[in-house]
Amino acid sequence: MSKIWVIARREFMAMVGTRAFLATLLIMPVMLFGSLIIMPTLNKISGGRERIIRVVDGTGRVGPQLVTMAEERNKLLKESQSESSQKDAKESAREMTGMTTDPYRLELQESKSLDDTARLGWSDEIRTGSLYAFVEIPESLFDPASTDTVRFVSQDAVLSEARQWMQAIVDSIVRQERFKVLGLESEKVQLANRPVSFAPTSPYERTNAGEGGEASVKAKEEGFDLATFFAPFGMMMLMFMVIFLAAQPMLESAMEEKSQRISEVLLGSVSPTQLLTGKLIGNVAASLLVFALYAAGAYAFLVQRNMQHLVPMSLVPWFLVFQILGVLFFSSIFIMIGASVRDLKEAQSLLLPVWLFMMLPMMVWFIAVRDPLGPVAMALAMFPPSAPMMNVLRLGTGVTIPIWQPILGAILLAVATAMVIWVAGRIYKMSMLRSDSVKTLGQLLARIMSVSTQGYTK
Amino acid sequence: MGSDASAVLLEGVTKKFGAQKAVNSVDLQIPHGSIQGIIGPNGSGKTTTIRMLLRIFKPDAGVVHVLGRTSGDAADDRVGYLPEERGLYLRMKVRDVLRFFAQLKGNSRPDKAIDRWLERLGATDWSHKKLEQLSKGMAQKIQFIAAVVSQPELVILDEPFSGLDPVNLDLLRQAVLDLRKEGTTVLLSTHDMDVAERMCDRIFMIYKGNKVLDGTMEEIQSQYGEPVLRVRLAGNIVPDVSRLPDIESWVDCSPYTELRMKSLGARSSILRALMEQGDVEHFETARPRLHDIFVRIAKPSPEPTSNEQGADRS
Repeated sequence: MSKIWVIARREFMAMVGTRAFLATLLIMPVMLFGSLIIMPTLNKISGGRERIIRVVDGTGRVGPQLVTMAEERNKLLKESQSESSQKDAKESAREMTGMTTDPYRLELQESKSLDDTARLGWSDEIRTGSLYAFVEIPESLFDPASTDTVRFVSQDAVLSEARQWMQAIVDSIVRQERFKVLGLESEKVQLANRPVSFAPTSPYERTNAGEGGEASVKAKEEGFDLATFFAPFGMMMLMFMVIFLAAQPMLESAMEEKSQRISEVLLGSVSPTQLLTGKLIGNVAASLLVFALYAAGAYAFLVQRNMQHLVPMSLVPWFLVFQILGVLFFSSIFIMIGASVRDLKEAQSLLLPVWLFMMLPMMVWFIAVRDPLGPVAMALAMFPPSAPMMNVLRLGTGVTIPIWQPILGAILLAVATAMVIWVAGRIYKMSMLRSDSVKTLGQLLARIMSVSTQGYTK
Repeated sequence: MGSDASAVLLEGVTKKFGAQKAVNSVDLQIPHGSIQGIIGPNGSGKTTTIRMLLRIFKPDAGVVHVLGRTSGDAADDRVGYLPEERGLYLRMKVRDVLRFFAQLKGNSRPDKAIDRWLERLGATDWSHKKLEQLSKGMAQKIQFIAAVVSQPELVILDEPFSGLDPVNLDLLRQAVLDLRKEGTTVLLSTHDMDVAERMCDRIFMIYKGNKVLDGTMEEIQSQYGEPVLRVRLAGNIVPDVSRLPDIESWVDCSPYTELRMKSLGARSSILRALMEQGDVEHFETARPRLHDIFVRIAKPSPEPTSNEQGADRS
């Protein structure tokens, strides 16, 4: 037993005691969630350029209002960027100003329409960058029967946030004017147009009676909250990162032990079972450390944003069960591949199908979150290679999953893991002492099938 | 001699891989406290034999006794092993890797032994370096320490002297000889016949899975002790062997030519015949060297145009 711990300790230290581990630990979340964190920052960095927009207003009434609104927006923008502004003020400013932090300077033109010469001239200015955009508001716009179009001309007109901002304001002003033309009272029309509230509600449940109180029946009303939607995704990605960070070093470790003939020395000191057991114990221990670090980091992040309620603590035991099984499953496969090849290039072709299976839940996570009880989510929760990620994803949605399903998923994964470890042990011993390598999945399967006929000790 | 009297005893050991016999009914006895050389061409069965001693392979037939034990999942903790080159985690520090291998052999407090060996082999300054920072020779010394640090009773060394400069070569050779003095049994696998001849008490040669030599150097030389003449003509003229009498075969060992005679009595007539061909610079009756014996055994079957055939024709 002590030799198993010696191997486990070395494996653990080899994994976590390196700068590469620390770097990967930091890089992985950036790679997977980076865009969510980096985008607003990049927006802030790239923002701040004044956008000059010329407005040719045929109606004579829309333009001035646009100018006023733009000035208000700029003011809000400035306030929200100051250090002293409150968090809520910043939030409301963002709602008003959109994601970009560019101030808009609207130049209201005296003329009510443009000829082609002016259009061409201004377009050239847009191309040279001295002008961001120009807008033509047709004179007939207040006429309810008008089919004329407002034209927003810029190089990025389709994606322009300024266009979207302006469209919303113009739309609101024109509607008000049309109500007047049609003799409608705008307040009444707005009342009639008020959307019907349609609350998504979770199934009712009985709450426990408090002191002197009575038990009651309650249901939780749920809004469409991005955070709620992405929480299961976050859990799935956490599982992926933990498994990836644990399994990948196993591949490198097996390859190093083969190429450096360390395996021969090891197998001269311990049995293959002891060796593999020690390696896997060290590997699981390192993966638990990765989980602890990521979980603590994520929790601290959520606490800072007052979102800790999103963490389903009841899920932690399930997470750990699937994590341990998943790490053992994939690490054994990676050891098997590492022992069968001579270099990383050969390993890559064998790893491709493993990666595909491993990433299957990521390809369908959206479907699974929307319908965690559906056939796709359920099938992948039972399929061992996708079970660790799919099960935590389903459980993370908050939808009541019949308890037998994650239990069955874990049992199937445990059985598959036991089989993979058994095969990996035999392949490890057999392949580590061979100088040839396996180049295709077919050859690897053939080697697995021929293991018992090769006359090795075990 | 029973297994108790020997550190290693192989009795009719056979190992097959599929239909191929890697080792065929081999017997071997290594006395305690001796240095046993194991030689043989590449692919002859040396590594398979060593792996059976390490319990990595199980024989298909016969019995392998190592330090009195006949079975196990892995080598006894009393057995140390140095594989040919490599065998170390390059990204680990010297002390950590030595500690790891010592602990694998059941030595839970190996630091004193590590310090002693590092000092003995002049590697103390390297103890906190990573293996990948070491030269090949220095890494070889560390690997040697890894094999012996847990004070094994049997040490299996596979090409321990490769990559060493003459100074370190002597240092490590002396360390191996000292191990024998301390009572450790050493199994030395090498392609360096000079090393085998000078250091080993007994030599065992395996060829195509079969034992072909086993004994002390004297025993082997007497077994392969056909009279051999080592000759050289001035001006590097290669003798015309076809014009020499009583020659069984010959080998070109440039700048010498080695002539195997049919009998010792043929020396005078051969010398006379050589003198007719040129100025004889060197003429020596020699004991066969291990190198020559090895070559004689392991040389591929000669083609019709080869030296042996030519000599036979004469």
